[in-house]
Amino acid sequence: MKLGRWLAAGIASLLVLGTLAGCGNSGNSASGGGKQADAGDGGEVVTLKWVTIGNGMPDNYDSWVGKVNEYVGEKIGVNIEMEVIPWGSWDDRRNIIISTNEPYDIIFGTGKNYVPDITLGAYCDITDMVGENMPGLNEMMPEKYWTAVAVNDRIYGVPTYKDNAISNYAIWDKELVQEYNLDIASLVELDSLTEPFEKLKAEKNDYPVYVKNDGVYYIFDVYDQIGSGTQILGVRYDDKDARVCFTLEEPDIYAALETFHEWYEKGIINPDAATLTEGRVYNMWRVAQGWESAGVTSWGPQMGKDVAVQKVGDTILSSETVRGSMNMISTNSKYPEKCLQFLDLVNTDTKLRDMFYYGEEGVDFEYTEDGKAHKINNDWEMPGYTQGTFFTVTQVDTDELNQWEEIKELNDKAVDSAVFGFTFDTSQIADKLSNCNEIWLRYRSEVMTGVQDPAQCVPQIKEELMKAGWQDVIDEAQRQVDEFMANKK
Amino acid sequence: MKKRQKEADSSSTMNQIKPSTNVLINILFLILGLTCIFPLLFVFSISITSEEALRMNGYQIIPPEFSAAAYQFLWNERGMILNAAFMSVFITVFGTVITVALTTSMGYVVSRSSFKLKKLYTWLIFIPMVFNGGMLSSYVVVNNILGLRNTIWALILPLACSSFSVTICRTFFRTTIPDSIVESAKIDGAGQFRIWAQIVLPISKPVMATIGMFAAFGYWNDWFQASLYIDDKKLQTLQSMLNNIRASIEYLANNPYGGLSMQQYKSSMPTESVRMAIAIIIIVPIACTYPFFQKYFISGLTVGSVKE
Amino acid sequence: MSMKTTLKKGGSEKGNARGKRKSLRKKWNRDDTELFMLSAPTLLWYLIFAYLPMFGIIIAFKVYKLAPGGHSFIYNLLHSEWAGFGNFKYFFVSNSFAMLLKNTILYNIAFIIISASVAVGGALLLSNMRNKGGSRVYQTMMFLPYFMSWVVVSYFVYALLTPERGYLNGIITALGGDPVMWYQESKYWPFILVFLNTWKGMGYGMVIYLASITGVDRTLYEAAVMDGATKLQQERYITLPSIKPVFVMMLILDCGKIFNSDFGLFYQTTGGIPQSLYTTVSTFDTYIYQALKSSSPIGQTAAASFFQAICSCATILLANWVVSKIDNENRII
Repeated sequence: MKLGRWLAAGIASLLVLGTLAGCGNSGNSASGGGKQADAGDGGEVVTLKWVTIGNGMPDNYDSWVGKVNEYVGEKIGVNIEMEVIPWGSWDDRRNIIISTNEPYDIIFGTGKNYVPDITLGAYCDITDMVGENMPGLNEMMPEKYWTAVAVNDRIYGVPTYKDNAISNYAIWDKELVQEYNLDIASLVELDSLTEPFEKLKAEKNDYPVYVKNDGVYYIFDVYDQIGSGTQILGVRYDDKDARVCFTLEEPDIYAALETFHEWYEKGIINPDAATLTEGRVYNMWRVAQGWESAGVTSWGPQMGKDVAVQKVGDTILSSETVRGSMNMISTNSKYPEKCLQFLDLVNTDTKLRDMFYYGEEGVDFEYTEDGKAHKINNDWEMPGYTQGTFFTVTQVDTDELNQWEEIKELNDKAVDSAVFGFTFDTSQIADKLSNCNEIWLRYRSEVMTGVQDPAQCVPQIKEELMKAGWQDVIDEAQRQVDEFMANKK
Repeated sequence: MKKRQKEADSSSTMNQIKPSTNVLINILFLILGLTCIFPLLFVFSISITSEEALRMNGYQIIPPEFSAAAYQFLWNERGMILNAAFMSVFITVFGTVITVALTTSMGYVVSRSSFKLKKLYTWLIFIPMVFNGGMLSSYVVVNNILGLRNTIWALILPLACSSFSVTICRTFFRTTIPDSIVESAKIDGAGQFRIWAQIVLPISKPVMATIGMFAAFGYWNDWFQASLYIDDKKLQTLQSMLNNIRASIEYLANNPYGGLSMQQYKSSMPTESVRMAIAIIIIVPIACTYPFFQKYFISGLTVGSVKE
Repeated sequence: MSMKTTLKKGGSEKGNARGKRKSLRKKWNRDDTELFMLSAPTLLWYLIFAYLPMFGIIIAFKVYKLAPGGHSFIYNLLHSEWAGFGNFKYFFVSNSFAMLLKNTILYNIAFIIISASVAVGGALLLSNMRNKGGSRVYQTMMFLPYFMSWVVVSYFVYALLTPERGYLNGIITALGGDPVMWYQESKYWPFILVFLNTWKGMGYGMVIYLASITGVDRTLYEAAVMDGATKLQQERYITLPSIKPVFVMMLILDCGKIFNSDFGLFYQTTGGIPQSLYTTVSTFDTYIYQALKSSSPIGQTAAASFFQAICSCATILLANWVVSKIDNENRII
């Protein structure tokens, strides 16, 4: 009896604690991310919190943010507060911020969580605000980028206008190309590579294709994954009929897998590829996303050797490629308009853009006499691709040609995916889709690095997928795609 | 204990194993013991191998080419490393003191068979052993309700007590502190707080060392709390630094779709030998301190299970 | 010495304490107040850090959605729709469930059997060693892995096993064999994991049994020697029976934890679980961790961990019941 009373008292006090905590908490977050402060000149300045990914907070954050705030405070009455989450903690931290409704105003994001977060109700619908608040970006960026980030015709994120379209390039060690007199322009198809690779392997005693556990993954880039998040489902970008297919059985992918298997057998691919979690710095040949002059500005310097580059396939623009980098506004932000105005300024104002891209003027970089940017050190690690467009960033003084122009041109020439603007609503088949993807992930590294023979493993994968309800997933996707195509016409 | 052992030794000299068997056993344990310290030596030798040699020859026990580059790198970053080391030490020491105080007091209270709330407490301690509200709700409590994010308290308080340690303490006190001692102290007019602080704790060094060791290694090795609650670089600990590097490399490697613009950040990650060197900085203090506590540690752990 | 005497006294006091427990219906007295005050800080800790977050269990039964208007997590949680057992259903029908259950339990059984045999065997040998100083040095050496975090161990394992440059493959190829792709050959991993688990815990286990062996009454051995018993016979008929209670106790406690796994062992030493090892090394804990990192709804993750908690609770209570039959003093509850 006594014990019962004590127990009751204990539970009661717990409840009191709980409700107290609950109240305090809701009071806290109701105030939202934005804080108000009086600016010196009497105008109202709001503080916006921007959560983004990177290498953690910069060491000179305080002095940097002071300069930024002085500038944007004066221009549009906004102060900012950054949280730069290290790459490694990004997933955890981001999930927590979204799920627990921790106050923030702007958050970086990719296609991976975009739709689930919208379903959760985390982001602010900015469809009706972008026209008025982002005049600069609207003028600069093609209209269709907004279409790409729209879900059910509503816009929830501001795309970053950068190398949005996928262009793949084969990157060769220039020395080898010259030594063997390789005509890399004709060596675009995978099977045409087998012969030169065999020769390279025999004479250089190294693996011409040195990859990690995701293999030569670029082959899937011609398939629009329509937001399913798995490589095995897609619509080929140039398929006007918009057929949703099981990519592994498509002739092009299947042929590529056969080639990989041949390479593996012949020792062209490094034998431990399927288990490597890190690639290697030096590669005789590899395929990567980028643009032509990146060979001089990035790939070459990274490898420490001159490289020759050759474009592989079309440049493709799909909803997914655009969603690779976006910034969303919290549904709890008190000043969504201010957020958009601020992002607009980041995208259009070169001075501000440089502050984000290069860091603190005079500390991390300085302007040269001919109006270029000179990096004083390499300490500024806030990743530029998360913030805003590349095209207003001042060129770095070591670059001879303007690579931004080149990227812009690629974007303009890009071929739109056949189902551009479509987002697969997976809610009906989410369980099956995730089970199927799990099956694929189990095979992926061994299929993509050629360990397994596609003649054996593709039917095997298919059989497992069918048991897990793959057909329902395909059917549902096709139904939605058909509907979308019908409405488009 | 010593006396007993001596007696045993002298009386059973004729009952000893053959010298040859003894040698065999010694060899066996020498091998076992070496496999246990081998990782430490191996990781150390990688940390002093040059990157070039690592790439060409792979991992070797004896570095084909010495290089202090990794330690040089750490030395150049000494501001950050020393700060992280200081945080690690501070949190470990401070946290351990708190843990020992919280755990032994609770352990003592539940070990008293006459305590009125004993039954309630026993369940109170048991339930969290199995059930928990999950990461999100713990986060909400620590961050939103208590507002501890980016303070050292977020690294200490959530780990400050555990039902496992309380149970060890309870078993220890129940078997080593007879009611008669407590009763006679009470007759002398001592309150329970004084009994705990002045009588119980002084004769409970083994269990305090045990709990303390568990707690200290918990704090020292923790990276999870830090990854949730800390983004201020000044509050970063060594272990969380190492884990951050590991996790960041993993993230960049697994997200190739970020395009060229993202991949270039990969090259700014520390090299392999640097990571090994950080690991060395983390293990060496442990390897140097635990042998001194081992004596207490062992008796604290075993007293619960050793009965005569 | 002092410890042993108190130990004995404690034992003789036992009967007394039991008698008291029967006449428990006493009034709340000053003593209780003082004990309560002494425990108050820890009690507070338990309420805030262990019990307050338990509202999170509700997530398992909800379809969590953010209500518009910037409310707190708790508000959103309470106002989300109930899912009944929908979140659990997802977990049970997913093709991972049977695999996770099998892995978690089988690994634990292997760990228990092998660790216990190694610990008992090692303790027997150590206790017979003639050079006591050496024995102490070995114990210290073998204790070291117990204190290493899995993050650090995983670095070392990687250096051993990484296929191209790893130390083991270096040896294998030097001996003329073919290199082994360790991180993709799932058949090796049960052995590697059992080995690592044994390696990390053997120092601890041996020390516990060794302490209980040194506690055995020496006169028993002397008597046995008089009767002409060999060393092996002594171990068989004296040592082993005397450590049986400890053995049984450890065994039961381990069985109580059969639904839990050491996250670091399974996740970190495998390098974050590569796909080819997924079905071999995944356990409930790694599954829950991976689900937390992915974009899957938090309700499903919560359901999985709640299910695990229920199972553990049942096994611990069962183990506790068995313990209480054998030795009432060592009960957990």
